[in-house]
Amino acid sequence: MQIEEILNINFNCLNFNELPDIQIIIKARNSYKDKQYSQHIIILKPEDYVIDGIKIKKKLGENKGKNSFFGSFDTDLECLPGFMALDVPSPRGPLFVFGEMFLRKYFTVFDRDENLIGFSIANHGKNENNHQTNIMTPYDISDNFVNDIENFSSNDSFQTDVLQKLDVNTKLDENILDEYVFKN
Amino acid sequence: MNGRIPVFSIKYGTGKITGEFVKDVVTIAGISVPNQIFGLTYREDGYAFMNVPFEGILGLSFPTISKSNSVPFFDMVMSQKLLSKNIFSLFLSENDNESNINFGSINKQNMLTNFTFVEVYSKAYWEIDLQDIKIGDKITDFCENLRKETGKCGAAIDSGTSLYAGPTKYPNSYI
Repeated sequence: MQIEEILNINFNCLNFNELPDIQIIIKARNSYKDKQYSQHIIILKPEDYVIDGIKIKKKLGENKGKNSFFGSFDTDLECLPGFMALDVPSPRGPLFVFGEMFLRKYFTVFDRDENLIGFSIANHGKNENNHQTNIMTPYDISDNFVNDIENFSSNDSFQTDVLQKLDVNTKLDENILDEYVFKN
Repeated sequence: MNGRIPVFSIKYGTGKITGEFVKDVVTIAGISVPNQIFGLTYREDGYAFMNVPFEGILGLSFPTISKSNSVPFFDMVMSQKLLSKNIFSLFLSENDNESNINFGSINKQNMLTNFTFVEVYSKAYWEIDLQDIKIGDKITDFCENLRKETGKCGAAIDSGTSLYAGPTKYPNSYI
């Protein structure tokens, strides 16, 4: 995939700290049942899209020599791109597929009542003081959404506007939670 | 089972299964569906099936892509109103030990932030329509190109895929 050429991930992780974030821009509801939309940005940091080769090697340990998903990889490599080519045939494809690597970062709810997918940064029990930087919500454009979408790529201030709203909106809001989280 | 003609065959990225369809009671964590049609495999090819000690695959996508043209498990759960909310939530841990899937509920412990809710684009895969993909601060034309061909920039959220996957001919350039 061309994306690997763009990122040019060094297999020995020499440029890991310089790798960019990947930003997935989506149109999301302002809240669970609110059919007003705003732009949200899902951020994939290098650690979210680079495979830790050392970890894989450890995991494979006993299975070495056997076929495995990573059997064709040289697992002495430390940083491997987490991208693969997959052609989903028409009419459903071509499309992207976000697999386990994505789902590990984002705890996901699949909602058949509203036909929604909900993403929350998964709690892996780490002390992530800066976790708010991962989902950016909401760029408050409501009714003007369509116009703003059309204009936003040429609008340099877009990114800044989103960032300014960041912290306020990504905190866990207990009221919103109660509407949706069920306590058994 | 030798000599029987496989009724279905499903190809995955890393393997292939063949088998036939049967009907039985399916119970998961106390949720019980009688007369559930599902596939019983008698041949699993490929390394995905050799190294992973799982017993089966439970499809949780929409009925339109059901191989058996029967009603999938979760749609049976819905039609029989077995849950107060027809949702399921998936947490994948980093250490293989604490992953969980909840039917009908969300484990609050798994959340660091509120949910961002995106509408499903087409009721086949759990697919959303992306607006754009940026690398660093730079807009790519990945979505623009996909949209020209398919009218959408689809991304399926799929636990049956390991990594991030994209079409081979896209993305093909970088602004």
